[in-house]
Amino acid sequence: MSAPRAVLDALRLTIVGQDEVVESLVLSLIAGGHLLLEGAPGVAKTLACRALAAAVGGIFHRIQFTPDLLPSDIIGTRVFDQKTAAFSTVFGPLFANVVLADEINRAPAKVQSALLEGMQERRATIGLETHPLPAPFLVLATMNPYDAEGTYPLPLAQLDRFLAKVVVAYPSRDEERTIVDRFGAGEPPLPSDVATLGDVAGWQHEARAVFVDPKVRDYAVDLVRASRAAELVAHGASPRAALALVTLARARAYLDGRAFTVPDDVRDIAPAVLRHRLAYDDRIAVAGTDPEDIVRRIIAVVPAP
Amino acid sequence: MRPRAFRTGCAAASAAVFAMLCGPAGAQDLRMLHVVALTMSADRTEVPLGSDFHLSVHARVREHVTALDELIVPEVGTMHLLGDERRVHRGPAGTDIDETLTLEPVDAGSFTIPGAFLDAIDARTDKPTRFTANAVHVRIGAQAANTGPERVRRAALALLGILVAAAGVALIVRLASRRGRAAPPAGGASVSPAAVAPLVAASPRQAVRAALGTYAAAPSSDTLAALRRAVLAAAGTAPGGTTRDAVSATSDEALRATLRAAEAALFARDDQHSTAKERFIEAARGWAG
Repeated sequence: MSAPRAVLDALRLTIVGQDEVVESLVLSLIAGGHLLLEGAPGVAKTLACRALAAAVGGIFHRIQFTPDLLPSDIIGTRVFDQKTAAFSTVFGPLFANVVLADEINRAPAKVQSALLEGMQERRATIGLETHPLPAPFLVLATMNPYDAEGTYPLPLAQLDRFLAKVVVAYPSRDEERTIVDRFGAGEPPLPSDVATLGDVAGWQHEARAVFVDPKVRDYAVDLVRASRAAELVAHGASPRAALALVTLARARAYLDGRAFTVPDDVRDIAPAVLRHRLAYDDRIAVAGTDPEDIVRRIIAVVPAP
Repeated sequence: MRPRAFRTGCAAASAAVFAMLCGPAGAQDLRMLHVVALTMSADRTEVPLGSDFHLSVHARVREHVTALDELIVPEVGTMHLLGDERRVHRGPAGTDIDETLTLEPVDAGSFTIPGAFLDAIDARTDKPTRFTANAVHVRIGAQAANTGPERVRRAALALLGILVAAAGVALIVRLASRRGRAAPPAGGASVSPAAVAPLVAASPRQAVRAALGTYAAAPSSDTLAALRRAVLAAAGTAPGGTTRDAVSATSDEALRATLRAAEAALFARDDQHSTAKERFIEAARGWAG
């Protein structure tokens, strides 16, 4: 069985910079959770997802969410076959190992909830039949923070189902030069044969066995509880956030080759786990406070064990 | 900075109005703060009538804040408030807020100025808490009190006091050094926490040695955690920091190795604890000397 570190290294050969994004993709894969990516167009969100699927030999599907999308467009439908005079099932793009839900906030609520149901239940119902989704199953949803006119923002309850949210920043000047050099003559080949889907299942199983000391667990719980008492926060993170913190801390320890988690594991992934789970009150606009600052403050006030 | 001078009007009235406006708020309105320090001091404790003195309030919070409106300065009785200046300095360890009031007494006598306070949700306990600074005592007297033979006598007494205090500190440090050298290198069951306590503030290495002695005298997860805290502090990390903070704060490779060993000793599964603890203790001893 190859190590998840090999996937990380392979992704870094394809993606220029974006260390946090690349690591978060691998952590989500190990943790078996879904990831929300927010960033401007053209910052390699799609490429990173395709590279991840290729690295583990998984099936990759991309769904471009638009306002006229229907649930059956992503789940699949029953079609009548005139030759056999019977209905047959055509599976939608949700049936893949890595699904990129591009601009998830552009589809209406009905389509969003169909996707989110699949994420939660890991199965989809077409007609009267329920079909399990392939394993591993990872949804990577992107949101473009610009052009928000006419979009359907995801409610907090649905955002909560994403294990983490990563902000994809613009690359640095040096990284941008490397991008031009590397991609100017065409797209480089995606990584392949780095690991198998069986390896991923093994990693997920082993990561669940990583030890979490009660002090580290309490630290995760304290961070989530501090988010509820933070200034300018109307609704803090749910208990699911504490679960996400511990799950991702396990994955991070496993990626580092440790059999136990440490406070740094929790603190490092806390911004990604908390940022999409907080609802801010109206004063945040008046105060001109960056929500990221609030997340940083929450993490700063909780002492690590 | 907001310099103001109120030659007219009574400071007590303004303080009372301020307290009414900003007084203890409901818990839901409070900000979560990690208050590290809140102290108050006067530049002079004996002030002749007709001259002024400065009352300083210092607060430090671990958060980076742009203002600390929760900080309520004390009521200053009938003294005239000549100026009020507040400075906010944001640094890596948090935010320092220094407020200086310039006061002019109008009545003679002894006064106790109550401590400044601030209401916040204590980040340590998650509970609404009132943090209060120490009170300050000032004696307002006639100008003659600070002049002539009386002043000379007081200066001589103060000098004598300083000399006695310095001799006492030197004696304690000497005794503490002897105890540190006499401590057994391993399994020092005779070393009690009380015996090593004076070493704690002397130097980082001595603090780690003291924590090692405490752990040897009473091995437990608490004393092991205290030892790790001493190692983190030795690297220059504030309480509540992590191993990464400490590792990035020091270039001492032996200390870095000790910090990494501490993680396994504190957070690994029970069946891996004993080996990890031994490595940590060995590394800590090696570093502390």
